[in-house]
Amino acid sequence: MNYGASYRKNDVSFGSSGGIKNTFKSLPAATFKLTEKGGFFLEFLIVDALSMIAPRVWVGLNRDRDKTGQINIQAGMEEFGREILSGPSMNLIPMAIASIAVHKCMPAIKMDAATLEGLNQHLKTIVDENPNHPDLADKGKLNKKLAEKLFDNTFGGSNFDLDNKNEYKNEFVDLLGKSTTTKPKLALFRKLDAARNNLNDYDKAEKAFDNLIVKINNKNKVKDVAPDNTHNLSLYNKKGPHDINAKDLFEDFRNYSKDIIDKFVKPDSTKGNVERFFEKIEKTRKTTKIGLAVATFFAVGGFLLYLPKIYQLSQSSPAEQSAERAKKEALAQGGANEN
Amino acid sequence: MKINNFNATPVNNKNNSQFVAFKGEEVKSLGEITKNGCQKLLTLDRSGTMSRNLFIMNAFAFLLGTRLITSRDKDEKREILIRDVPSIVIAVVGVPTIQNFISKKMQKSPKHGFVFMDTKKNPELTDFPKWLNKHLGFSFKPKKEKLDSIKYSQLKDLYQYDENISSGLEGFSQRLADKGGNVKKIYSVLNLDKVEKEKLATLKDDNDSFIKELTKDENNKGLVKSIIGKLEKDDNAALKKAETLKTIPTVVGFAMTLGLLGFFIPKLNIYITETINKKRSAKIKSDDSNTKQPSEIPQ
Repeated sequence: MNYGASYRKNDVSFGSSGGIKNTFKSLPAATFKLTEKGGFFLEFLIVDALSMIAPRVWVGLNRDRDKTGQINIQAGMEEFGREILSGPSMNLIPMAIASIAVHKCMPAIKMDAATLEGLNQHLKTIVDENPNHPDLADKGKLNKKLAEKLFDNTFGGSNFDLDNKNEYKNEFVDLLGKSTTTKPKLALFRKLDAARNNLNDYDKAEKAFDNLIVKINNKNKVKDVAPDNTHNLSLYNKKGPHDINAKDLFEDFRNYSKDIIDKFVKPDSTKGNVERFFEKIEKTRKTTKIGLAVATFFAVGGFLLYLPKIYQLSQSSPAEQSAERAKKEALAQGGANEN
Repeated sequence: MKINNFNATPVNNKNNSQFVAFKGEEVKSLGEITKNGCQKLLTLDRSGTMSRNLFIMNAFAFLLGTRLITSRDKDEKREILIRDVPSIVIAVVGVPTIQNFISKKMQKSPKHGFVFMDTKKNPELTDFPKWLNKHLGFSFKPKKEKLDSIKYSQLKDLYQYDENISSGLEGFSQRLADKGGNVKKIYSVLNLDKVEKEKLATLKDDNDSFIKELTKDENNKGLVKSIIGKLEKDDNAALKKAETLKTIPTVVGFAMTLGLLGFFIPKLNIYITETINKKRSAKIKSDDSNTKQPSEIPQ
């Protein structure tokens, strides 16, 4: 017994899954996990703040301090103003404009073109099967039909061998339905909630949906190798399969329902020509997507054009002032040598 | 089994089972392949930020352009060119470029046997080489494979065992092997007992034999159970090591980018400014002495 106890004490697993050493090792990983989640915006913000704003302001404040004996407030302020306004705003402005465009105008522009085409294709099939079905005028029922069709096309074929397929289908349809009936909070609040593990209904449904897709992919008996990218599923459109992340699909389904299904169920929306209705939808969304990128490009540009008027505090630049001081110094030295 | 009416390509059972999307090879999703160069540039990411290339274009056009136009003197113009042009490029693409470079070097080293980069098949040529091939007779070929960093979330799937995996430990190990890892080395990192570790060490080194021995041999059932038990944990040692290995290039990427931007480029700028000022003051001195000469000529 004693031997067993001391053996357990020497067990390698004791202390190495916790302890200071491992916390230290896992701290950088935890920090950089955050930066990866934050994407380009956070990465650029960190790089900009640490490498450009802070040092440039410091250099500006100390410019010619050896000559003047004072902190060069003008140079410091100009650097600060210029950097703080130009760097982060180049990301914040597009994010703000995109957010307004997606939430207020056309929710469907957030998704990839291929996703939109795929969802349209599925909806078209439903309509073609029974053009006069009463469910086509009911938003909730049409959402359900679309979700069912999605499941059938993605997981219904012979490349997915699953037990309890019907159970998965019901859960799939149920959760996608929740994406349209619950509401997500603003992105920032969602991140804070997730950190505190305090999810609202939308986030809970999204997480459950993600878990379901992972489960289905793992349980698939067709493959003898564990599946790659278990969080992804294939959406079929005209051109072939389009891989999409489960959480992205969850959001896209909601946006699709809010935008396109909403329009479709209105009476006389297609005016008899279903094909044309979908073509028009695709065209307008694609054009708006590109238009949005162009609009944000010029919005940021306009802001940057106006920026110098804000940060330039005097007629001559700190660089010119620096050159003048050097010149004066040189003259003074030349004069001293003469004497 | 006919699922729907709209199949563009004839989908029969034979094709389904060979579907590229499920082979473990990842084809870039169609949404990416069918975009042309212009469409790829004029996009916003899902979070709403501009794509990196678009960002750089914007910065050059408006940030640098306006700074150059509104600059008040030659010195400021020079400062802008020397300091801001490289700064913008490095700030936007520095971190991922350095990170990928170092990751590739690390992944190629067979010492640790871990995978944290994924090879993605790149089946298409991009627009510019295609154009060169067509109009100027070049013969560029598409790159066969591209190494890309795996995200932390994907890394977790790779190194944490899920009880739902139908192919069991064999399939899990095969996935790691397919990506280029050495399964024995990976499992050796787990916090197994001394006895189990020794048993593990006796198995063969190469992936195929190792997996076969481990999963098919009756004597190793206890070991398999142990390994699965360790791998199922959220914070298992293999996952932690993979995360650390993945973090190193990121840390270096950030550090080098910050160093270049915050230290090297400003110092370079100051050095050049001082050199130019010295030359100017030397020129002023010689000008002054030239203008004084006539009055010194004895009459």
